[in-house]
Amino acid sequence: MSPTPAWKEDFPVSWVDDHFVTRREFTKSLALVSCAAFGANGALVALGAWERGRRAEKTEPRKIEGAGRLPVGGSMVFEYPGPGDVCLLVRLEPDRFVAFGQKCTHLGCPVLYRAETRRLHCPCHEGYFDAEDGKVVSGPPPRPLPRVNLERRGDELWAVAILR
Amino acid sequence: VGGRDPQVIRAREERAVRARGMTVVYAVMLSIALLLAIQFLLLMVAVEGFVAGRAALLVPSALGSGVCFLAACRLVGYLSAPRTRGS
Repeated sequence: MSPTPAWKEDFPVSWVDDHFVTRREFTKSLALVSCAAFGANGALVALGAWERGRRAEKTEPRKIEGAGRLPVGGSMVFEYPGPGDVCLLVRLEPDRFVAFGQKCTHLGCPVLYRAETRRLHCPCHEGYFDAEDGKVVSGPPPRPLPRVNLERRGDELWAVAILR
Repeated sequence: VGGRDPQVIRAREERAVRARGMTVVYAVMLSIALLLAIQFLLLMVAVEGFVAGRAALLVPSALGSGVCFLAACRLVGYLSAPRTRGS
């Protein structure tokens, strides 16, 4: 009987040799990781361009369902201009509504309305926006919140444009 | 030790050449690792710019990342290129 089994003669590569990585191979794999990082950066550029193109499309006015049932000092979310674009409607006074994009301008966390301070609060990094005009009051956000222009049509409230 | 024995002298020269070669290999590996670190920083900047809607950051960071990638390719090419002993 032969001292080496048949399978070893068919596959003469040892486990150690198979897992041996030379410095050159390792360096090449580093270059591959570098390629992947560059690819990810390129993908972000493409996504950003797609997002800009989507925003540039003409936006149609949209009725905000349930706005009339909102109590004074209350807030609700709605989607405008398209599905997935979440905005926040706030009823400041019985006949006064304001609406802003809900994504914080710092890192995109959703902002919440705080009726006691009349401010919009981003809980991620403690950013505060004025509920009157969406301007930054404090915290890291670099820009005001995008404002949604509202229009009354009879008893209904319509979102007609978004100002970024 | 070894005096002027030609075999000993040749062995010393070979060791010196190998040591020089290894220094170059480690320098290249370190450079690529540094380039990768810079690329990850640029990627973080790009991701933050994307989620914050600061589109102006995206293209410069992608260009910077591309330059780093090209430099890494060049370094790998330098390492993989066949060269004569001692060069």
